[in-house]
Amino acid sequence: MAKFDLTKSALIALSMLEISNKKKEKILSCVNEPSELIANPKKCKEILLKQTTDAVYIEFLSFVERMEAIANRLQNEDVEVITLFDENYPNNLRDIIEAPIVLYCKGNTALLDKRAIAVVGTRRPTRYGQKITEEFTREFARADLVVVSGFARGSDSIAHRVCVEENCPTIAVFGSGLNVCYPAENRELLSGILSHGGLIISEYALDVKPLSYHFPDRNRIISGLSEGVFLAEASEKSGSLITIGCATEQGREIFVVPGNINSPASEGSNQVLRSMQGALVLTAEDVLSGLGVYAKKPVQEQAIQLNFIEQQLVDSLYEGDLHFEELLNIAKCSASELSSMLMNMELCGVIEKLAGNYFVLCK
Amino acid sequence: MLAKVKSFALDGLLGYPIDVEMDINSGLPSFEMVGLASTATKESKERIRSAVKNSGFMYPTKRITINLAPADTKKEGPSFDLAIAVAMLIASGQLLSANYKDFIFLGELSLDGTLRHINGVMPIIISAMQAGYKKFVLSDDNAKEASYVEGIEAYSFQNLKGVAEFLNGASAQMLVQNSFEASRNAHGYGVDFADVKGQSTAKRALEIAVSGGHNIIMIGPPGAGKTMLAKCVPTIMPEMTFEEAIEVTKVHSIAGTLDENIGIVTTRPFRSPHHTTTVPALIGGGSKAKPGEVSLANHGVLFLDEMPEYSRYALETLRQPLEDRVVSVSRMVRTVEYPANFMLVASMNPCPCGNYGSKTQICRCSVQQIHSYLSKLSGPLLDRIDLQIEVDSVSYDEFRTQRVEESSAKIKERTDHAREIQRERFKDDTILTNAEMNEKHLKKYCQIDENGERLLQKAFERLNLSARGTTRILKVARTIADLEGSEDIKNTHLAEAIQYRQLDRKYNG
Repeated sequence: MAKFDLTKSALIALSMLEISNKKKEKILSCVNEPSELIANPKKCKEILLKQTTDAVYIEFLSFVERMEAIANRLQNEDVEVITLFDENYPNNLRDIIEAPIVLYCKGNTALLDKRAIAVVGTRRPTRYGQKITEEFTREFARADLVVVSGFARGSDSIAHRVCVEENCPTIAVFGSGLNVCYPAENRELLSGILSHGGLIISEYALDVKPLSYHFPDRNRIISGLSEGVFLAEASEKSGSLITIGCATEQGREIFVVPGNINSPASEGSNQVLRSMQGALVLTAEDVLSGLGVYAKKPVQEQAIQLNFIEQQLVDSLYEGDLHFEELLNIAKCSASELSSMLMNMELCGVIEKLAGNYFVLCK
Repeated sequence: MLAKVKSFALDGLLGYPIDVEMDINSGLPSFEMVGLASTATKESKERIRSAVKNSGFMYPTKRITINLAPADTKKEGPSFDLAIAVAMLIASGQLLSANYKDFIFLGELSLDGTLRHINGVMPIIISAMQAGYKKFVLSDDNAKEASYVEGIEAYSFQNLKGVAEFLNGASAQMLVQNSFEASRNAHGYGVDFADVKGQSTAKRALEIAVSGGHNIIMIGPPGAGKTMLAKCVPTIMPEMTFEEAIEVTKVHSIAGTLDENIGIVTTRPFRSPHHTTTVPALIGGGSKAKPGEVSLANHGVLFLDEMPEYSRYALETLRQPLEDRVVSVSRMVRTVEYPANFMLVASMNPCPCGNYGSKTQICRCSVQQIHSYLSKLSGPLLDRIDLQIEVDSVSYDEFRTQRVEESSAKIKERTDHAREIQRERFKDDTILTNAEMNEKHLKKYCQIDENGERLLQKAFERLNLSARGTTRILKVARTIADLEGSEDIKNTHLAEAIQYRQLDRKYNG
């Protein structure tokens, strides 16, 4: 049987109300101690009725009444609740405007104190965006930064997935309750995050649906938890620009990779660069030194012995990705020999196969 | 007077003798047909009346009773017309010779007495021979088809009058046996791999697929040339043997898709049913239990263009023929078995809009759309497709290059050689190709050394391959080794085989 103290109960009940974060902050500022909201019903009634409506007040009371059941459920689901008044509430987040009153956490909560960087981007990355997100995230993870992202499709999922692949912890900030896996196709990724020492957090109660207005609010938590925000690619109306906005407000570092000026998928990120030239980064080291982190020396990879043709292929791939037919012209061997050669090189981590029979060098 | 004439009916691919019995009695003029005749068969009454009159004979104005024995099987189609007409001439005393008893009569009549083509002559003749009948009378239109069967005594005629004269003793030319080899050389496929520019990976994969009898799926954007590649597949398959040709012809003869000018199927069939096809059309069925596309593609290629567009139900029904290489079509009154030993060549787009992963086009599909598109192909179905390759559009430059592409004949030499090796290897087993290997065969013939194991291990880790692909990779590697004439599966073979597991790679989220 779980039971929360008055402060926690009051904050949870308050956080569950369907009113704006600003209102919630206001209500909190009217009391000396959050516990008063429960301990002093008269004052509570007065404040809530003044700030909100009857319906909200009644809702608040019903939440307080059901608090034991809520606490039990949270315990059963292995969800930890950290409130603004708890000591283990992340300091980074405490300072931001409209800091979330409670955080529902599942997984390794120790991550909240670690140095973190947010990786954001479009939900529909181009091949370029995918590659940049993957490469940079990998470097961040290897430098022991905790990667924070929003679990959305596209860049967010790529960032989380890279961390899972690298066996590094990552934090996913949900725009829904923790029991709602949105998008649903990321269910496997979700269990991957948790099993690799990661953490998922949300300011919403367990079963809250992913409503569209949750996501801009969620973005302030992503940037709030991090020391810097990295953006690989964003179209003109991308939600990741909101995160950049939050980060600016919160005084976080911003790192943006320039994109093709003809590509609509990079319009937003290029706009950001125009207004903040200092945000421009070209390598993951740029980001790391901007945060004062130094990349660990890469593990010396086993030297790979390439034969003459393979070396020729690698040389020509320096100029960019090439199609199988083009490689065939360079190698001047049979398709079968080339296939098996390319597969061997891919398995050694020298090259990578892209969609459409294109091949590219790995970094 | 009573007359009894022999004809043949078909149940699936097997024929059984039919006795056409006719009795003419005095009484009110009538024409009664008993013996479970279908509508088309019953309608022969009108055709026969006109045909008999127009051939210069008298139609008896008496009470006519016809029995098609055995009386408990359903008789379909107009193929008994000739037999009934001959029976009538005998029963009415207009034909006095008794030598009709040795013959089997097959043919439909038109109103002017001309004999018309019927379906299923090849399987009927072959079944009849097995039952001990040797002499046949049939239409000129069916002559070509019948002429490929060895050891029969068949006569073909243009009309009913000719048949009657022949039975009365006039001389007629017996059908001359046609040579299958000669017709085969006269008819080609009309396409050739030399016409396909570029696409080296796809061509190589198809060569492997044909060599080992593997099924293959090509993934690529619209306009990449998947259909063209698929059409070329039969050109590198081994030449059809006479036995295979007969088997194929039997099915095509029943379905009525046989070219009567050639009379036998000389080229490997290439069937590409449209994706709106119904299950009975694909598998076989209908009230007549007709052969479906899978049986028409027997010994050839079944090409499913845009595979995920087919109904899920239709795709799932393919699993059984892919496994057993025969289909049994069960209807309430009967169960018929048709051969379905085909090579499956499928194609699909990488996503519903077709541009996923394209370098130049933007894909407009959402991740769920791509997901649901790909998940139309169930795991068990994909398990039966050994090679999965990516095909992409040929650039303008490639169209223009003067590079001479390899001809089908040249590729065929290699595939034939690989098949030869397999035949030798499997001579004590009951299978013919690498694709048919089961667990036991895999253990025996697909040993890989430590290096190979390590390579596979690495592939699984690096490429996120799913484990169910292992046996497929081994089988394909075996075929690649055979193509090279190598006894062992080397690492290069394995590496190439892994390249052909495109769908096992995880798509980016």
